Amino acid sequence: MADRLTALPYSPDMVDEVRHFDFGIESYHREIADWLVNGVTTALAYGTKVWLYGNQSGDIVGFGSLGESSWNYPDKKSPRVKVAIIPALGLRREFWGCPKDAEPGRRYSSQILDHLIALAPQLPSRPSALGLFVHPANVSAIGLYERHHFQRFHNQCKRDETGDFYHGYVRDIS
Amino acid sequence: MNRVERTRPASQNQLNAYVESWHDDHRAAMQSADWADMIAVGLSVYHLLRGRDQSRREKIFRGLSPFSAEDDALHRDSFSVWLSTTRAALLERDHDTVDGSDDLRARVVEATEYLANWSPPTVSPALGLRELQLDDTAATEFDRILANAKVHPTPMPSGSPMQEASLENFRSRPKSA
Repeated sequence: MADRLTALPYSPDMVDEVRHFDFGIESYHREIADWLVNGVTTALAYGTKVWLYGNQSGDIVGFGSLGESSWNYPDKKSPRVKVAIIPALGLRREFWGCPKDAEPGRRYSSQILDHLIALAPQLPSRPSALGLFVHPANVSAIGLYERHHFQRFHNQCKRDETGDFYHGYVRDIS
Repeated sequence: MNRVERTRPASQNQLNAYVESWHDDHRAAMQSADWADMIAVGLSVYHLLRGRDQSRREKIFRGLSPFSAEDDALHRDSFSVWLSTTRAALLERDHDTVDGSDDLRARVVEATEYLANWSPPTVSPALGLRELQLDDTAATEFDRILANAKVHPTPMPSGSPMQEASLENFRSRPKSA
């Protein structure tokens, strides 16, 4: 039986638990680590929820987050559509592909994503869609999202600090 | 003209009126009835300033407004002005028990901490938390994805929900090898 994770609600006073986490060496990995240490407090203040995830050996393997945002369309005067958002999600590098003997759908990354997808419809605005942005070079994350029925759509967002464009993905949760 | 006077939304007008009422009519303000009014106005102005600052911060966080250093300084100055005025008023009524005076003292402590920990707001580093304007193509695709899901619903995760625990409880559990 696959190692089942436990969700541990995160608060800023737990920052020392996560300061040393290594999510990988690419810029988009380091952004995740930086967000968890420096960006999470403000996000929590605006309603985002964050969890750490612990395995049955007592290790914290990663984290996930769930918030809300608004998308305007078809034009700026249209009512804003509330959507659920996964602002950031990360699996510590030493737990990538773990548990090794688990099928892909029971690996830690899938368990974390399933947890967030299951909770998204319960957000205060009762959103009918869940979105996220991913760096186009992060192919393992893209594969994970696509296995969980996220679809790429023509929406991208530029990170001014790096000039990189992140691709938008969305799935139905109604 | 000082920074606070340059912009005049409702909260700034009320802040100025609060400051002026203290400086111009100091003796009258010490009468109990006027003192009660002064407390009520002080609390009201404080909540207006906090509300306006929180709203500004969230708009910047969501990417709806650009950050302005000048605007940030204006907001900080407003809290400083409110704090110095309120401290001066409370100093003269140190042992006062008029309704609201304890609340006003608590707001002074809160404002002092707020100013001491002041940090300029920034746009959300997590792109998803920024509010977006979808272009025509994105809007069409988004609608298509949701419409398709009505015909062929996207499966939701099955199985029992993940257990939640506090970090403390998690740490105290027996571990498997």
